[in-house]
Order: sequence, then C-alpha cells, then structure tokens
Amino acid sequence: MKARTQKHTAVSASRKVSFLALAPLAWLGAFLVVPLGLILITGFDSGLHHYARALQPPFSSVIWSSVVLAVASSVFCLGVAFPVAWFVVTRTPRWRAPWLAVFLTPFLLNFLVRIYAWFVLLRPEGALARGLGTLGFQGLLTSSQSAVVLGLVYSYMPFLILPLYAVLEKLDWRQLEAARDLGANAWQQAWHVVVPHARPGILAGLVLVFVPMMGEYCVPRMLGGGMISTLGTQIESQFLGSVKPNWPFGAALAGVLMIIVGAALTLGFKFGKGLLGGRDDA
Amino acid sequence: MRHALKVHVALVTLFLYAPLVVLVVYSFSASRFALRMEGFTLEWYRRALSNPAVYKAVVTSFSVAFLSAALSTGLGTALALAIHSLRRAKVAGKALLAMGAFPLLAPEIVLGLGLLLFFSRFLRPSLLLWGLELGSFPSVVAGHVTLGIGYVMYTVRARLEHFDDAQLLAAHDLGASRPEAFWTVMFPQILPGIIAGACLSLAVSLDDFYVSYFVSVGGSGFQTLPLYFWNLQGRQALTPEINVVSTLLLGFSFLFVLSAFVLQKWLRAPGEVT
Amino acid sequence: MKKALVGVLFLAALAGGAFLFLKQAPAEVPVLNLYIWTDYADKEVLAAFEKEYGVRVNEENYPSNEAMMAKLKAGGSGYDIVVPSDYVVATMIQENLLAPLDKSRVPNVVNLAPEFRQVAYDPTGTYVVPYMFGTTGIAYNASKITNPPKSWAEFFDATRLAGLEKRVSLLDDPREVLGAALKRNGKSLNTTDAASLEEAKQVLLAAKPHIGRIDTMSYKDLLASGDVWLAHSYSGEVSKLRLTNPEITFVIPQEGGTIWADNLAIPANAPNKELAAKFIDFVMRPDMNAKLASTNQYATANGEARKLLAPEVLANPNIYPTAELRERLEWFADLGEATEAVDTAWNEVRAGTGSAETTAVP
Repeated sequence: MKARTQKHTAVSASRKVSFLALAPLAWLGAFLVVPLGLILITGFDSGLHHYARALQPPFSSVIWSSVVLAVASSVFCLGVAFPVAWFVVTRTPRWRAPWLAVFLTPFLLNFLVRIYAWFVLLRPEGALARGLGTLGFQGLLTSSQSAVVLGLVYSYMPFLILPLYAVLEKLDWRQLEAARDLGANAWQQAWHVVVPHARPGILAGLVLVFVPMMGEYCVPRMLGGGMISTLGTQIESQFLGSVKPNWPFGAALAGVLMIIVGAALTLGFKFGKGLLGGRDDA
Repeated sequence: MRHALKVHVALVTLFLYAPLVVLVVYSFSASRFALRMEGFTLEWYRRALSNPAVYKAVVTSFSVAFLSAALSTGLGTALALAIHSLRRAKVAGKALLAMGAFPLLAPEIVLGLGLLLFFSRFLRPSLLLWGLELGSFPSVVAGHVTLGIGYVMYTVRARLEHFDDAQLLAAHDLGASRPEAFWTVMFPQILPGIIAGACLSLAVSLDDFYVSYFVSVGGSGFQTLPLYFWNLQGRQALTPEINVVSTLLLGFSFLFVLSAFVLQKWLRAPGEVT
Repeated sequence: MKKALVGVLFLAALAGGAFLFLKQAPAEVPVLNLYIWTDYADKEVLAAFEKEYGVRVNEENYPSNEAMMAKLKAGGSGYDIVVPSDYVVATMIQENLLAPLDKSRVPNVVNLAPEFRQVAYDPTGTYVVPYMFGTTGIAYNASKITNPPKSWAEFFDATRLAGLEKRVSLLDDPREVLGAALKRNGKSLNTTDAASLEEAKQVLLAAKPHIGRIDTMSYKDLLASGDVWLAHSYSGEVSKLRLTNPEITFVIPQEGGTIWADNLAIPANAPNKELAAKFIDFVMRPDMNAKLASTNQYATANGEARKLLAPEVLANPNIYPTAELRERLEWFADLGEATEAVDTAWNEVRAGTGSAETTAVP
C-alpha cells in the first residue's frame, strides 16, 4: 500500500515538474526556436537564389576568410591559453583559485570596452605601436589582420582556459612520474602524456572559441579598421548597414553561419567530451 | 622550460591588463580628444556623470538587467528542475537542455538577428499591444531573458547534480507535503545555484551587445550603456567621455561579478561538499 | 535556514528592483521625439523650443542613414522628426516611409535659400525641408603631407600613397567611395554601367594596399590624433577640427566632389505630426537656424539665417562652396535597382586582393 502511494506521488510529482517545464518551454519556443526558424524561412525567400549568391564571389571569399580567421585565432588562442592552464594546475591547490582569478577577471569586464582599449593601444600613434616601432618591430601588430586576431584571442581566451584547466586538473601525475622515470624529457612528457589526456578539453575549448569567433562583428569592426570583411560584418550590413538593406540575403548568410557553427558544434560534441555538461562548475 | 613558462605567464598577464590600465589612465586625460594623453583632470567624469544621456543609458541598462535577471532566474530554475525530473526521458531532457544551452553556445549574432526578424515581421500585427516591437523595452528584455535562462539552468543544474532525490522521499515519509518538501529540503540546497545564476544573468544582461543591438535596430532609439558606448564612436568629436564611460562600464561589471562571487562563497555552508 | 531566508530576500529584492525600475513617469506634457545625427542639434535651441511650446523634446541619435532607415523600415515608430540625407530621401519617399508635410503649417520655409526651395530628391516638394548641407572631398594633415593631392587622380595614385605608412582612410560608404573612383575616371557619381563600375573598382583595388582604414565613424578623431594623415572626408568634420587644429585642411578635388544635404522630415508613422511641423517651423527661424549652423559647422540651407552668420564663415569655401566650386560638385541620385551592382562592386573591393598585406590603423 505504502509503496503504491509513493509511486503515485513520484509519478504525479514528475507530472507536476513537467508542467513546470511549460513556462520555459513556451518562452524558448517563442523567443528562440521561432526566431531561428524565421532566419531559415527568410533565407529561402526566393528559393535558393540568396544561398547561391552567398556561395559565389565575392561572398564565398568572405566566408572562406572568416573561417580562416576564426581557425587561426582559435589555434593561436590555444597556444596562449594552454601554458596558462598548465601554469595554474601546477600551482599548489590553495593558489590555483587566485591564479585562475588573475587570468579570468579581465573577461568579466564589458567586451566592447576591452576591444576599444586595444583600439587605443594599437593605432600607429598608440603606445604599443610606438614602443614596438622603437624596438624595431615597425608595424608588427598594427596590420588589420593581426589586430583582429589579437582582439579575438583577447576576447575569447577564457572559453579555452576553463575547459583546459578542467581536464588538466584531473591529470594523473603518476603517469608523468612514470614517463620521467623512463627517461622522457619535458617535451616528450607533454606530448605523450599531457596532450592525449587533455585532448577532449582541447577540442571542446577550440570549438567553444571558434563558434563565437565565427559570428563576431564588433572585433573586426573596431580593430579591422573597416579593412576586414567577415561573415559577421556582412550579415550586419545586409540588415542594418545599407540604404537598400537585403534581409533575405542577410538571412541566407546567417544560414551559412549556422551551418558552419552547427558542424563545428557537432564535431565538438563528438570528440570534446563534456562540452555541454562540462561547464557546470561555472 | 620552467622559465619559458614563467615568461609566458608574465607576458599573458601584461597582455590581459595593459589595455585596461591604459584606458583608466586615459579617462583622466585633460586633452579634449579621446586619443590624447595630456595632464590630469576629473572634468570628463563630471561631464559624463552630469550628462542626461549617460544617466538615461545607465538607468535603461539596469532596468533591463534587473527585470530580465528576475525573469530568467525563474524560468531557468524551472527549466533545470524539469530537466532534472526528466533524467529518465532522455530525449525530452536533452532537447530541453539543448534549447537552454543554444544561446550560450551559438554566436550571439544569430539570436540577435532571429529576434530582429521575429519582432519586425512576425509580431508586428499581433502583439504590439504588449509593447513587443523593435527597440522597445519589453522586446530587449525578452532577448536578454532568453540569453540568461541558459546561465541559470547551468548553475542550478550544477547544484541539482549533488542533490539526492531520496531526501524528498524521506521528507514525504516524515509527513511533509510536496511543496513543503520542496521548500524545506530541495530549495535551500539549490539556492546558491539560483543566486549565482541570478547574478550571472544580471551580468550577462549588463554586458550584452548583440541582442540589444539587433533588437533595437542598431542601437538607435533604445540605448543600454554598451549601445551608448558603441554609438559614442560615431560622435563627431570623440571626447575623453568615451574613456570615462568605458571606465564606468568596467566598474559596473566588476562590481556584479564580485558580488556574485562573495554571495556564493557566503551561502556555501562551511564543510559542505560542492 | 537563515541563509536561505536571506537568499530569498535577495531574490525578492531583485524582483522588487525590477518593478521599481519599470515604473516610468507618465508624460504629462506633449513630447517631440527628435531622431537626429549625433551632435547635429543645439541644446539651447531645443531648450528654447521646449519653453516656447511647453513641450518636452526627447532627442535620440543615430550614427548613419542606414541605421535610421533600417529602424523605420522594420516598423519602428515613435519618431516625429528624422533627418535623412538627400538621395536617402528619394528612397524613403518611394518606400512610403515619410509623411507629406503641409507647407502652410511651416511658414518659415520662405527663409530657404533659393537653390533649396526646389530640390531634385523631393520633386513635388511635399516631404522635406532642407536643413544643412556639405560636401565630400579630401582632408589631410598639412604637417604630415607636404605635397597634398589636389585631385582624385593624385589621391588614388599608388606611388604617392606608398610613402604614407597606410595612414590613409576612405569613407565606409559604397556610393561615396565608388563615386570618388568614378570621378577620378571622369565619370558621373551616378554611373551604373558595368564597364565604368569595373574601371572604378580597379582604381580602388590598386590603391587598396596603401589604405589603412575604411571608416565613417572615427576617422575624424584619428585625423585629430595624428593617426590618419589623409582622408576621404565630409567638409563639416574638417571645419570642426580646424577650430583647434589648423593643420587639418580640406580640399575639393579638381575632378569634383559630392554635395549633399540633410533634411528635416516627418516619418509616416510619427505619433505627433502637428508638433513636428511646429518644430520644423521653429528650426527654420533665422536666429535659431543660425545658432544651429554655428554649432555644427555645416552650411545652412536657410538663406535668412546666413545673413546672421559671421562673414568669415560665409567666406569659407570649405563650408560654403563658391560658385566656381559648385560647378564641380555633384549630387547623388537614387540608383534604384542598380544599387545592388554598386554594393557588389564595393564588396569585391573590400574582399579583394591586397588585403593580405594591408596594414590598418586599427
């Protein structure tokens, strides 16, 4: 008897909770699913015409250079973030959180402001360009591509530091000791022990930075000096930056963006373990 | 290798903080041009703080942030609880999870664009009565809530993972009604997650650019502080006011993240396993 | 448990804060919603209007014609006055975005200078009242550019550009940039045939490796700070910069530049069209108009107001082009369907070769 009521309670409880899901479901349905559907519908406004135009020059080269820019920035980002994550996990446990805070605090500040700060620094008369110039590195960071890559790396680094830190923290240090005992040098240890262990975090992190970089509009606008044309800037200008805005075409470009991003996320889910669940400890 | 690592970390730290320091320094520049550093003055702070447009943008930002944080906290918590209860129904749970997570994972420009289309075409005839039109307060809030739900979902789910459902059954056995069991047993344990989520969604809303930008059609008409900042660049004489506004923005987001951190730390009972 | 209580209180405070903020003061007085370019309206003039009519002016700014039009096209209502540029007016009329203006309610239109009484972009004269006008040409920093270009041919000349460390800026506007290149080739700004656009594109692609910026937003600040030395620029920006830095110089190229005018207009869905007409009339008063013109450093279309301006302002050819200069200036025409061809050419320039080694003023 008791068991039956308990079961009954549990069932009705779950029904109640499913009822609870209705509000967020309705909200996300209205303000997420329908809008995304509208992007797709609008892009197919006149059959495949807009998609065909998006995949022809000059737009095909814009799409391609956006992918190259985002991939390059992601890889560069990894190069910067991996040693940082490694540095943090090799601190004593009580110093890890403060060090992590040192590297993450700047990202808690408004990202437009951070990009603007780089704008101030990177212009030819800015402190950095002048400093590098006197050191003989004239024009090192001021080209529009390098400025945009730098801005993208600066903007999205925490999305890489966190998953890397999460996997590296669970590294079995005895394996490293064993490798050392077998005579492996530091690079061999890193390559044969650390990297294979961290692979899921690396892949998840790369996807997590690649995806927002693909759709970025502010960084190329503010740091590219208008010389860099990306999917993000093209989409924006088709919607809000032209006297004759072409919304269906802009939506088709956004559709292309969603396909690229979807492919990246699928890869991320497949190979980057815990991409969705792994950030729970935020 | 050890030295190389230290040098790298030192350079990264410099890379992270140098621009912010430069910005704060520039905000005190006496030059009337934003990009020049001459002397020291608080004049630009005085002007920015007495500028009704800045004041209006600050009030708008906070109104949007508070309202959308309140809504997304409720909706995100409900979503997390629903997913928790649907653990066995794999597909339904995963679908809900994916919906909540989408705005966090996808480029924000996609959500912004979708909402622009939604409010301009779809809703125009039907729901204008609710004020849901492009560039209106409710439509920007709607966008921010959609962003915030995912964050709350994550922080609450993190707490739910450590929650043992047997505790609810035990409460029933001890005679507690279902609401009683929820409020006395489950709620206090997930509360830190709810509060962390609330603070995060507040910060996300204050920080947001893309959704507000598209929903307000290029930041025209309706301006939050980041949009005001963005449009300041289009000014005809870029004064150090822009540096002041950025320093203020730095201050605001810092304050909120700090308070989220302190609150969560404080709510975590000593000795509790997290 | 106590902590849980405090937590609940915190959430309650959050919700309470939200509702507190939601309470917005009801408008007791009529409001005029002015939607205008940044720094284009004088605060004192607005205050005078508020005082005289017992209303409140709610000024909101837009950074570009595009942003303003996109908002109106998307159905954004709530603006009583907008200030579109000439060729945009033609498009807006075509797309039914503007309300006809009853000129009998705006008696001060008689103050318009003769050349602005009938404008090509509003052929029936029923929609807009011209506000300020200006030109587009070349700006340079005389302390950095010792041999300034006098023509578009010199401006786009790769060998001249090569020595400028890429501190060169173009306007981020397809019509203006392709227009300049078309002028360089001796064509009209409004040429749309494929061959001419292709030639113009080649001029731009050849110059592109030496261009550092494509920007309408902050080039003027970078001119002021010395980051940009040579710029494709609007006249009024230079006039404003010259108030503090006489090194910044403006020149209308020999082949000719663009002349444009911004106009006061009432959107089709404006909530308060009557008050909007009163505002236009107020702005057309000579004294108010003169005050506006001296604040924004552009040329006014109001002939009576010009009589109140300082003689040296009127004699400044960079603000009021001489008759001889006027000959070389051309208006943009609405290109209709051909706009897409210009956009595509422009996109090809932006995505085109030379970008790999392009150095930018970020």
